[in-house]
Amino acid sequence: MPRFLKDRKNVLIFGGLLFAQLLLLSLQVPRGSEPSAFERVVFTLVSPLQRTVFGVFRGAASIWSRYVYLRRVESQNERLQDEVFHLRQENMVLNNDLTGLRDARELAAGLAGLGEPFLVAAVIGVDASNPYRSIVIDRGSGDGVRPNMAVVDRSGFLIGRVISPVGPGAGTVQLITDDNSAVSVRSETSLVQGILAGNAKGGTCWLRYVLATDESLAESEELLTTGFDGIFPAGIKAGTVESIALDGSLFKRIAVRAHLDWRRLTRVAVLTRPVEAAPTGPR
Amino acid sequence: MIRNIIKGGLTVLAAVLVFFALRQISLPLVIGVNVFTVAVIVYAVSEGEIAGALAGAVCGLIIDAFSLGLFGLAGLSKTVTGFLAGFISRKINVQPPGRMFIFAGLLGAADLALWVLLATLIAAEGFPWAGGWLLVQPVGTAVLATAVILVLRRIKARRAL
Repeated sequence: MPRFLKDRKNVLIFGGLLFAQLLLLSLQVPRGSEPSAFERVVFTLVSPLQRTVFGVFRGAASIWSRYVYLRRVESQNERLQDEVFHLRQENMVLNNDLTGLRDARELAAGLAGLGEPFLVAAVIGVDASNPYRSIVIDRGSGDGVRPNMAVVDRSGFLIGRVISPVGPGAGTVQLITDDNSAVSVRSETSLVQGILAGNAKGGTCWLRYVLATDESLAESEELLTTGFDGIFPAGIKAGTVESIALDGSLFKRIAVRAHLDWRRLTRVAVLTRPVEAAPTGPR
Repeated sequence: MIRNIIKGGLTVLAAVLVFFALRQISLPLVIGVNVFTVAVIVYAVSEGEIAGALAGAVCGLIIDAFSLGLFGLAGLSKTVTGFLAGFISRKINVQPPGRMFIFAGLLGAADLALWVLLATLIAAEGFPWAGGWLLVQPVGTAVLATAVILVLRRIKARRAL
């Protein structure tokens, strides 16, 4: 090796590293391209580690709570039995109320509308640079999970959709609070339509493209998916209107509080019905 | 050479495992302490600027693989952080704990600032402020990096005896 190259070896290697990564970045601009093969390989190689750590923690927590920390089990058991009794009573009262409020046909239709085949998945990780953007679940292509499948939480509230990369045993879910997320929604009572876009800075969302002249939308109104985007089935609750403001533009500035609470996301349901028209938009 | 590669691989592996473990414990911890930056600083101080830059590149790309942002953003910032950590630690004495804390804190802040700058300029992305936890990151990173380096030094000293 020539002497001048030997003298500058460190700088050259450093420069080469920077150049390689700048090249990697420039290949992805403009945004919206699919993940590169390299990114898929890194994801596939590291995701089993994530599953292992998750398994170890779940196992340790299980051993601790089921075999070691049993100090308050008896009193807890009594309390839970009381709670179950009260909940049963409450359930009966609520069921009676429901029957009184809706006729049987309407109720059956509503349940049939929400009836979607689903797959339960545990959340094993969050986005490494911004937890409001994506999560990693323990179900992947091996379980039939495919990109663009809608994901809801245990209460049936919309969380997001499955996106690439999907490994054999792990999948990535883009949250509706991600900047690049867009969901077609309408308000529950005034039927105002718009696009629910994420705001990854604060874990909230914006309702976009509602004309400033539209006076029908009110605060606290529930937003439901329309199904027009071909990804999210219609009728899933996504969030509530938090505030409505005018900023002099053509459209209103509408802040939406998403129902998803990423701090409590432990298990989710992937709606596994086949995706009809999978758009190839930004990741 | 092979020993260095194994050492670097183990450092990165440890960072990945700790990162996934922190997620299971508390989400603010993941944002408040950047374990990958800690690993890069610790490895760079021990092995030099090129090893630091390489470890930074690997750690950054792993972060990018688990993020929806542009693939390579964290890789670039961590590469620079690793190189700077190794280079500066060769020029000035950062061995005393107080100095090490300030050194790691400044590098953590520089890494965060560079990442924010790159993300703003290249990707126009938002940041996970998470109630201000992101601003705590340089301090959290400095505390952990200093602690790890002190522990490793103590282990090394015991082995030498």
